[in-house]
Amino acid sequence: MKIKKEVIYFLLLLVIILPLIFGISFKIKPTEPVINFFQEINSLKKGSFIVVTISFDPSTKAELLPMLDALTYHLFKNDIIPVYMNPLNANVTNLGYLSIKKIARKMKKKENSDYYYLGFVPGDKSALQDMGEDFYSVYKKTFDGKDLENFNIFKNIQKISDFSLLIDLADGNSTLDLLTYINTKYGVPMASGVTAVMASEYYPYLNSGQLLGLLGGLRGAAEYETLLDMSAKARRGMSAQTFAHILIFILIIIGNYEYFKGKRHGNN
Amino acid sequence: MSILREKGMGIINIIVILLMLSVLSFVFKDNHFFKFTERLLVGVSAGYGFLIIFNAGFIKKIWIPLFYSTGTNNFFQVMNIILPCLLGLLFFTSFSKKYGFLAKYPLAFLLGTGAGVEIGPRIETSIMRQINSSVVDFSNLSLFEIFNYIIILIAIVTTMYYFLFIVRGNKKRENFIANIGIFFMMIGFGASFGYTIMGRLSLLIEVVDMFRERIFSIFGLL
Amino acid sequence: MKELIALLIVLIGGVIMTLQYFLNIPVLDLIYKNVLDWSIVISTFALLLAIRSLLARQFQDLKFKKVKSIFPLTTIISFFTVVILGLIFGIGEKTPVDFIYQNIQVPLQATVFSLLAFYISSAAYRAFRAKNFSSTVLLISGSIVIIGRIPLGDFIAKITTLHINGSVISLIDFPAWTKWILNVPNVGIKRAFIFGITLGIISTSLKVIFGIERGWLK
Repeated sequence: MKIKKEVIYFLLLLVIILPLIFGISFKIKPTEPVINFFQEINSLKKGSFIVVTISFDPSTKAELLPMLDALTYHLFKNDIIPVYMNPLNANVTNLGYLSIKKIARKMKKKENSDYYYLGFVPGDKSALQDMGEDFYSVYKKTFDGKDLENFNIFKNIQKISDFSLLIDLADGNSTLDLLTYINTKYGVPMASGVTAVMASEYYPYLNSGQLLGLLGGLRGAAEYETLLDMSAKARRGMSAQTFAHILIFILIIIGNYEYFKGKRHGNN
Repeated sequence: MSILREKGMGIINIIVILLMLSVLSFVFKDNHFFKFTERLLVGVSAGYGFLIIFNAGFIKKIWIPLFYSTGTNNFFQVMNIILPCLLGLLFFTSFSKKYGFLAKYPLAFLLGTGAGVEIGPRIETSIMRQINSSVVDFSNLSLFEIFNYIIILIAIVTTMYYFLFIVRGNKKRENFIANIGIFFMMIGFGASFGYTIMGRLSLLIEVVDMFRERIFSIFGLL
Repeated sequence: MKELIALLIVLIGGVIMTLQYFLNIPVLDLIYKNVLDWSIVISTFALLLAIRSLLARQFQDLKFKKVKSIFPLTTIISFFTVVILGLIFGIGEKTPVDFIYQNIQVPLQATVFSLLAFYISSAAYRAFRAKNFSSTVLLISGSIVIIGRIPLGDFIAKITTLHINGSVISLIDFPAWTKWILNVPNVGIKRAFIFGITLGIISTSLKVIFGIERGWLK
């Protein structure tokens, strides 16, 4: 007997809804790429100036927004000054800006002194490369319209290579683009957080040391939250994720059982 | 999401929940509610995208530098904005039958220079450095690490062999080396598939959580 | 003649930009820098053109009544509402546009993509089968990753741990197997793909620069 698709959908919803409502949570064991990511940020000195590029759409906020939140919390906690920008993705502007602002308020950090948000810029790859030549020909103002030249901290910045680290949170190919046009060409160290779908693509770059650390999908975000000792969205989501994975695993087994049963009957 | 608790959000939350449900209804069958919501989403996101591009591109890159620049604008700087603007405007000739070919010039500029800047950094990032890290000094490694590096090497060579000599050569016969390549590829695809399942489920988890937040806030539970 | 000019632009632009990476000549660097500045401005128009095309499509739908007119009207009205509100009130925090963005675009875009979860779960049941050797390998590797990435994997590894002569061995260690799959065979084949894709990109770039690929001219 075949399971109807409606039944599968119903079960899927059930295994996701119940853990979320009851707030079940599991211990998550961090893996090496995430630990490396975490340590890379811990190794930065207080007051370090780094770039965070937000390269995702609201459609993948499930995986990447928890990363952005955890990362922002981590950076603020360590007194590192991030410059956020979304040069490759226009649609994320308000989502990123307000999520950061919310955490900044909680941690009493001020916009345009403890962190900067520069927003979108057209030009795609050209904009990335241009930042390597002259940062200000790409960004002159913050998202809220303040001139960058008025801030003391930007006096030491000429090119993107003057920043200590570049972190990309991406749902597409942007990490590879940044590796190609900024890491390789201008030598800025890079770490990245990507969706689960993209994660396995970046292991060769982790292996070669071009990426210093990698957060992969909701699990990566949950591991990062564990390392930061915070219990936020990703860790909550991981409980639902666990039950959903078990359901999929069982479905695969049932599907194969039926297939072999059908084949045996067919042969007979 | 504190905004969900603000006054008057109850009715908004109900509308948003209904819209989200109409999207989910697509999983059973395409319907008018879904089509309506889809078009609404397209309109809103295009409008939002327009505002962002208009502000970040037109205002910050063209208007302000030309008319509100604080420094002294020399001829060279002004031309550096005006000329690409003129080129960019040529895109809009594509709607005219007579002058449509002019739209090819800005495209040619972006394509040519884009293709040119692509070559060097790509070779270095994705070929040179990747080859470098595939060839390692075994003297300081454990036996297991050496084994792993050899497996990586075999996987690279056999996969490339499969694509270069079997797929391109259009050979149908069984080939031992290609089969090893296929074996490794299946392991790798399995990993990608596992991760893809994980990613897709995360998206649904987020949506269920959004429902939970909005429903809870309607009943004042959040 | 018209085509020749376009092809010349591509050729000259492409060759200069390629050489710039490999040669250290100040003039080329200066050209490179300016070309990048130009590209940013030109892309602004390209992006605006994309939005214009989308709208034109809606107006066409409206005119020729291919679909019920409420659908293109929805897009057109919502587009102009957002744009007008944005031009009047801005797009920052607590503006009408931000409100629409947070309550329509963000939840709906996330919901549209979440549909994929239903399809993939149904596909896992229907299509993920051990039909031959290759698909069995795929199935096993996929299943290992599915279990290896959730806390259950760690739990199974913990309860199947054996202590033999002071060394700790776990009999069923999905997380460790996942790690090995990702770091070894996965790296190998993805690296081969990277080589293939990169060579493909480079050859396509060269074809465009030297005018062999002219699809974009049509």
